[in-house]
Amino acid sequence: MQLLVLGCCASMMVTGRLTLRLILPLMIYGTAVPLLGAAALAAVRGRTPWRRMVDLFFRGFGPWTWWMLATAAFWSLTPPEVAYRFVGAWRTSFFVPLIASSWIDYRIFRSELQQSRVAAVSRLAVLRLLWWTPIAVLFVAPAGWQTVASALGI
Amino acid sequence: MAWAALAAVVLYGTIADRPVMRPPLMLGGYRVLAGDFHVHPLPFSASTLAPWDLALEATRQGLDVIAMTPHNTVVMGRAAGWVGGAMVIPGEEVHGPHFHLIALGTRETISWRLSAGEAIDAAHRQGGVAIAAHPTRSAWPAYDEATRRKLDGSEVRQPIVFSWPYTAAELEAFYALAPTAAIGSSDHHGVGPLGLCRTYVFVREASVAGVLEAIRAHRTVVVDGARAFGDADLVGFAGELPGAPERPSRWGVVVGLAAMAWLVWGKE
Repeated sequence: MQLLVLGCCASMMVTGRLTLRLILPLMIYGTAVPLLGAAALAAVRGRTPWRRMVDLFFRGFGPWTWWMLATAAFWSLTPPEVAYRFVGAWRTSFFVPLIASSWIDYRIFRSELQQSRVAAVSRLAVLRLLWWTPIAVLFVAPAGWQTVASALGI
Repeated sequence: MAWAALAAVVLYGTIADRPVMRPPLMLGGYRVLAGDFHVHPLPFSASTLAPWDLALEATRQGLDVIAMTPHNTVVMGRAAGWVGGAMVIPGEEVHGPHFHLIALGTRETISWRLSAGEAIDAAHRQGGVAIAAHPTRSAWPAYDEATRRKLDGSEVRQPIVFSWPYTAAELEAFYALAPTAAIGSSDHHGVGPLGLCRTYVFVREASVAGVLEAIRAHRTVVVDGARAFGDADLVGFAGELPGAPERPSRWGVVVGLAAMAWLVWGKE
């Protein structure tokens, strides 16, 4: 479902319509996100059964799905010249699902998997590191590296 | 019900998704091509669309030519022509700490550690052209007079002028400092329409070499409402240049969003 929403939202943002020409390839590209997430999950699940862990894991996708729908509405229903005026606010809105999904995952580690606070935070941190690092590489590696290298003076 | 509504708008959107068909435009003895020379592909360049998706999307936005300009790499530019679509010029956006530079027609990555002048020279050695990307005031120190004179083009319009309107005057001021081709680009990162700001290139032949030659010779025009920038002999044609096609009706998007929201809500 999330992949369908991703494909549809990206299609609407770019073309202003829903077309299979963009929906299908974007669904394929988007599979990298849950696949990398599942791989990272394997490292932090401990003794929790895999099926249950995956079910819990997908709860954290909820805020991202709603954010994608809001983003698609913003970019496809607003004239682009107007939408770009609010690009700073839109970029900042990225932190809403980021924090909300992290909180959901934290609560899962705490209440569903009975982890201590420290263990829940550390597992969440490891999950995010293992999951988002390869995504960041795929998404922004060359410019990201330049920014980091320039900041560090290397 | 929600699935049926979503299927209906996807079916309608797919059927209506056709390239813009326009007869070749000849003005002043030149063939006029609509171009977008600052387009970021997936992966590695903070975008949502792969090069082949962008080449096809360009034809839907009435663009004849686009440049594939991933950050600090030329890798994905070569993959764009796999499924047809608009003419694609490979290149990169040299994404350095003090300036950003579009190198078009290049085949090897240019180091972001070079100065602006050295990066421009590197693009020229590969037979390419160099365009100052969004040269707002903060980038000006990277371009001294000698460096500006090496540039082939300068972005005078791109979406940054909608985000921060004061930058429009800064891009115009930089463009006025040195004789370069006026460039309009979308700096497309996979959101919003491709070719929102575009460049009309007056070419002798409709080929990559022809486009690069026209940029070197500064035979470009950029139109922004009633204003036009570019070659003094060609801006008079601004009124005859076709703009971007109309965005599709929003009803399909509204129905699609409502259907997806309903389905997501039901799932939760």
